[in-house]
Amino acid sequence: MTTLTTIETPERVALTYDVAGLGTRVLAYLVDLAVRAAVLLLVTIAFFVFYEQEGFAAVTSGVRAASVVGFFLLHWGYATLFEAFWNGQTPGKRLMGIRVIKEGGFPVSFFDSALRNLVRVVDFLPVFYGLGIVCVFLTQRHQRIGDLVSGTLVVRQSPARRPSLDDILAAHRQADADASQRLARVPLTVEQFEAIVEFLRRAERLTPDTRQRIAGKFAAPIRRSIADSKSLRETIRADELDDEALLALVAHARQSQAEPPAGAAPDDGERRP
Amino acid sequence: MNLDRFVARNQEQWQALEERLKVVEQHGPQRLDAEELHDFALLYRKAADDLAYARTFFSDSKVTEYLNDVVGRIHPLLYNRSRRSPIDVVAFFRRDFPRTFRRSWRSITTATGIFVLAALVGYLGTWQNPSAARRILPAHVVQSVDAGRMWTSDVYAMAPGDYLSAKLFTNNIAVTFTLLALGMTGGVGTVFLLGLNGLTLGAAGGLCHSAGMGGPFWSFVAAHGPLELLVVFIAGGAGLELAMALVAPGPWRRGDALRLRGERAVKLIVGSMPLLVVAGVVEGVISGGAPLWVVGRGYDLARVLCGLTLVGAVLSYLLLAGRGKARIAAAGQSLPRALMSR
Repeated sequence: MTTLTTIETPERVALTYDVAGLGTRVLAYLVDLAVRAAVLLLVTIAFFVFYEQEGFAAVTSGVRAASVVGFFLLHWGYATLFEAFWNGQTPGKRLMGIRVIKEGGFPVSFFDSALRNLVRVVDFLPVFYGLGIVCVFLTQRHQRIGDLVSGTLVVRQSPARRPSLDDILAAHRQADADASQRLARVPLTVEQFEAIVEFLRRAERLTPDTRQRIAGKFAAPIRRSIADSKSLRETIRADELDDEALLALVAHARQSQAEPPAGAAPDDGERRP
Repeated sequence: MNLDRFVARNQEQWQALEERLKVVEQHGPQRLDAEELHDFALLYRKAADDLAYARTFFSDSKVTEYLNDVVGRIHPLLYNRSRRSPIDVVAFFRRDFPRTFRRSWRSITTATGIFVLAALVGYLGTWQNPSAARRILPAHVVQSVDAGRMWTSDVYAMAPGDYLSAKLFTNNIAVTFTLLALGMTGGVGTVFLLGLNGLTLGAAGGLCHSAGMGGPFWSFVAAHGPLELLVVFIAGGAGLELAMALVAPGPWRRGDALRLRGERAVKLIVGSMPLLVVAGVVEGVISGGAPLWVVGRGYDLARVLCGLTLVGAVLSYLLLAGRGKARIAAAGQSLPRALMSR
């Protein structure tokens, strides 16, 4: 199940975001908990390893003071600092492919992130995020209390699913190639084809009347054969094009099929009847 | 227009836009020259336009998804009201924090009133009736005072100053965090915590006074107390800001009021953190150590002066800094500004 939320840009264009669900967020939270526990464990082990070493006693007081500040930062600063300086993500959120953004679609500032993580204390009440979870269920954008106060929300963002322009263009080039292949099958004699090419070449120099008349004459049989063939009807919406544009398309398709580009798709042969 | 022709017609512009976007995402808008920036903004508008078109005619296609992604990545770059870095520390402490303090004076004054009232009740109550202290204060405090010494001297004798300072300020900062968060209980939690702290401080003072140890008590709190209390009032005020948004949002909807006052509240708390570090160091190093009140009045005077100087300096900073015309933070980071300045 996905929940989409829409943000309207100043261009009056709607942007959609995929709001992260409770399960993903809980998992991200558990990962972060594990990361913090691991850090704590490593530091403790290191402490005991060095404890026996000579000269350790001399620095003990400084180490103790530093460990107090370190523990404080790990407890209170972990989420805030990561989210503010790491694109709205903690390690857990990154792993789960979610991130925190401002309601307007902006990155969170330090203060936004600090506020949502300080109010966490209230979300946690009465036990294990009871209020926070209820609040996530009740709000349209699945926000816990901290999110509501700071005007933030957690959205899904997995770069693996980001659509790439190259893929889209490749798909459409294939579609284009298929279309022009079918268009090239519009029945035309060699003479007709050459006449059309000649006409297109000279069209600029003709008077508008003549130009339209000749184009209409050439286009009429083509329109008929398109209307007769189901596959052609699906390929091209001839009635949306004026005569000359139609001629240009058909001529171009025929030409490109006559001299196929070097990297033509290998399955060309199979598609031909 | 069908999808293929839509793509064919616009792909060059999308490719150009994506090239620029990659540069901006990796190196920031400064990397583009004037013409490229101008192009970037135009191409973005065009892509937003295409997105609107695609949403209408090809709502389920990959192309729509792609355009949504690209426009969604550029939109925050163009319209972000803050600069690229998540926090501008210098500007915050030069202007933002003191201004926020002055803007929130009502809440801070109210928090001060609640605390002072509770402290007075605690002080007068235990002074008149020292047995009441036993119900309010921890047992070891009462026992120390009964034995005629300050409970703090044990702590100072055992722990080194830097460790103690770190303990004190992290603990105090956590208290300010809690004061803020509890504002979301409609202020009940914040008022309770403020009252409890005031009552405890007052009761400790009253107990010492009635035991004839008023001097040591005041000498202990003189150096760090004033600044620490000021910060507690500020943090209480931060909690009350949130509470007011919930209880009396005024002309705003509750959600909007929360966002408005939430920003103030968190700025008050973040700005208070360095103040608490200073107060903690003073408390760990100057307030404790040897039982200085034994040494003589001169030392007490020095501590009173230290406390007053600190709180005076901080208060005048909070009341005076960042006045005058609101200056817009330096340009050069966000795209629209980069465009305008050329």
